Amino acid sequence: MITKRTARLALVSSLSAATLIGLTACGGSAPASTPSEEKGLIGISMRFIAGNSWLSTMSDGAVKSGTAKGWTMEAVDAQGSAQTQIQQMRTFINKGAKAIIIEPVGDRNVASGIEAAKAAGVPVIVVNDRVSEELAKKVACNVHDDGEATAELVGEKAAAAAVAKKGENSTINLYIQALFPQELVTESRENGFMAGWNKYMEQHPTVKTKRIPNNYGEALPDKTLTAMRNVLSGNPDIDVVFNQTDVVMPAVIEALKGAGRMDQNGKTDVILAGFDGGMDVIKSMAKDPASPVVADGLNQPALQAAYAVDEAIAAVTGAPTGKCEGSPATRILPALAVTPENAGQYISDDLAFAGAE
Amino acid sequence: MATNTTPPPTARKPFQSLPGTITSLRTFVSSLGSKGYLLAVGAIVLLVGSALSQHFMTSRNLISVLITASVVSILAVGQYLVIVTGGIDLSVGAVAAVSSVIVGLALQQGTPWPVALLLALLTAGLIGIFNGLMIVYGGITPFIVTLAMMSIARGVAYMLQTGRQVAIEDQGFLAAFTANLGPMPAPVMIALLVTIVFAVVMAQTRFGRRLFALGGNAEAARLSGLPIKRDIIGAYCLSSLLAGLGGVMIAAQLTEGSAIIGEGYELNAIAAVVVGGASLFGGTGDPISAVLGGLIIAVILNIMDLLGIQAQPQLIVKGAVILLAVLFTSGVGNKLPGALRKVLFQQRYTGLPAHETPAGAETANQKEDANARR
Repeated sequence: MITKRTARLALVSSLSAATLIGLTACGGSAPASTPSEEKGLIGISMRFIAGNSWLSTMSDGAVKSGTAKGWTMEAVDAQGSAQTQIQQMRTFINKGAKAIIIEPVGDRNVASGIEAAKAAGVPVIVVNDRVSEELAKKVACNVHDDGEATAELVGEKAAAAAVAKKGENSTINLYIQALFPQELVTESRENGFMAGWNKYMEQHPTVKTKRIPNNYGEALPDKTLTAMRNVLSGNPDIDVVFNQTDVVMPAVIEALKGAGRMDQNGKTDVILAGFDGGMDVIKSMAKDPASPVVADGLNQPALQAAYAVDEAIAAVTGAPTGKCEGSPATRILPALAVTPENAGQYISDDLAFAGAE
Repeated sequence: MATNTTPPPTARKPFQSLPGTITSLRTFVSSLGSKGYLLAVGAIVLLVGSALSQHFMTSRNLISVLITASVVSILAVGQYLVIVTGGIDLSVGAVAAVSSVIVGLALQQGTPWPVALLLALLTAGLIGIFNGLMIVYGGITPFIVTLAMMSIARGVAYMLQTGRQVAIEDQGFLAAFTANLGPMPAPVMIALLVTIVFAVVMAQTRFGRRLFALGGNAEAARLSGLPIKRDIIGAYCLSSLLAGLGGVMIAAQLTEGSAIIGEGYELNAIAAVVVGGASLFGGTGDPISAVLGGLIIAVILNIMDLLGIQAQPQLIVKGAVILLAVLFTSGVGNKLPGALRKVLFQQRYTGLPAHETPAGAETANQKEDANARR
């Protein structure tokens, strides 16, 4: 039996929930949906949107690109759950989406979503993270960057700057501020960076490299600050830092300042290299030709997203772009490392991470 | 001839006998309570650190550890205030993130830094009051209320930040929270001040004693006429307020407000409190022990970083340290030395297994136990 108190509580709860949902809808950014009924709907399911500025830049880039081309774009956040992403794909199919773009949660987990889309005749584009080769063959196009090749360019430029600063017959102490232990992106960026570094050092055999063991900041500024402080305490003579994501560059800089390796004006004898093309890092590089950040790897989330939209439209209209090739069909972003000399070209006030159409 | 019958003064032993020294040491350690174990463990950790890394005992490294531990120490004091009532606050990391974003955004708008600071602390305090109200009047358990608030506060922080970096360039603010304040950096001095203030509050004020009473037996406290609702709301408000202060301090250290900071801080603060000897059931512990617990964890992690130990074994060591520390600061741990002594000494003096003690023969420990029962 429902008492008056229970009914009142239920009413208050419902009102509160409705208010909260209303407020969230007013202030929030997802799901991003823009009406443009002529050409149809393209659904985008992202692994994360909330809490990940890089992925939200990608999501915003896809919405902006598709809308500009006359399509209705709807971006949703799978919150790291494969189940949610599969459900979102099914919902897009039910809503009559012409194509679906996914930034996949795991390489095999979303197989049933891809199968369902294939059965419904809805083309799927995979962007950024990769799916297994078997699944990759079932989608219209796989769009991603080449993180290892980009990191290789960064490694080469960092090595050149280090040799120029320390000279021949020197020993260079190299430290990589890494993301996560035993994780694919972390390892590919490390391998790429070291390949570029070693390639340059082969031409300078008298220079020795001393690797300081990696420490992991999990792409979080506060954890990176602690990790960097501890590493600098044990290794006060670090020469080069490869910071694997610009999201935590302020933490790296503050740790260097705290350890007395950088003055309050940002002058330091430590060479820095970054990744992801964080707009603040790019701006600081463009502003100061003698910037301590000598190179930054760009993976251009908004541009990747725009390529994915182009491939989705191509799959729907049957007019191929001619840039998604091979088996599995793949379109790869060219590797790109920005230096203080060319950083000015990539500045944009609309983006948190550099690179757009 | 008169003879001197006065007995010659007995020569005083220059040193106490070994058992006497051990007894004195044990009495001293007992008087320190859980802090005794913490200080002993802390001393061992410092010795080990010094032996293993030449960089450990440098002033730069020690100050770096103190600065790093300062934020978690402040959060641990706040967490302790809630745990002593038998509650828990899972929202402190997210509240720290919200505060950092609010202070950053306010400073970007040109707000004077003391006003920006007050705004961040006020928001944090209001979140704590909301938590307390939901627990007291909503009848929801603290775990659920603060779990929900963790999500809400983090979401608000993301929405406020809108994916952009919230850089902080206000030199007055940065100096207030990062420059040296007396002999030590400001974060360390702030943490020290917070710890002392709340140690005094818990030991010397009615509010502090009421929180102990509340955690010891909430029903008894209520029947005694204590204002338990007000005190619970007060405890959660203070916890959030301190989390807000922690968030502001991190923002100053990073020169940015960020919605992604403070992840896992709630668990670090809880770990510090339990390593400090407090029970999650409430009514025990003290803020100083909570801070010492956090410091021990921070120092151990620092030593492992200095030695270049990989992240995976570090996680195992951190977990093991928490378990061992709680074992030795809890009731079970306190009984362990006595139990070991019983087994070892009985075997040595009787030559018989512990369970075959001759009839009528009472061991020293049995006497001790019997006296204790009397």
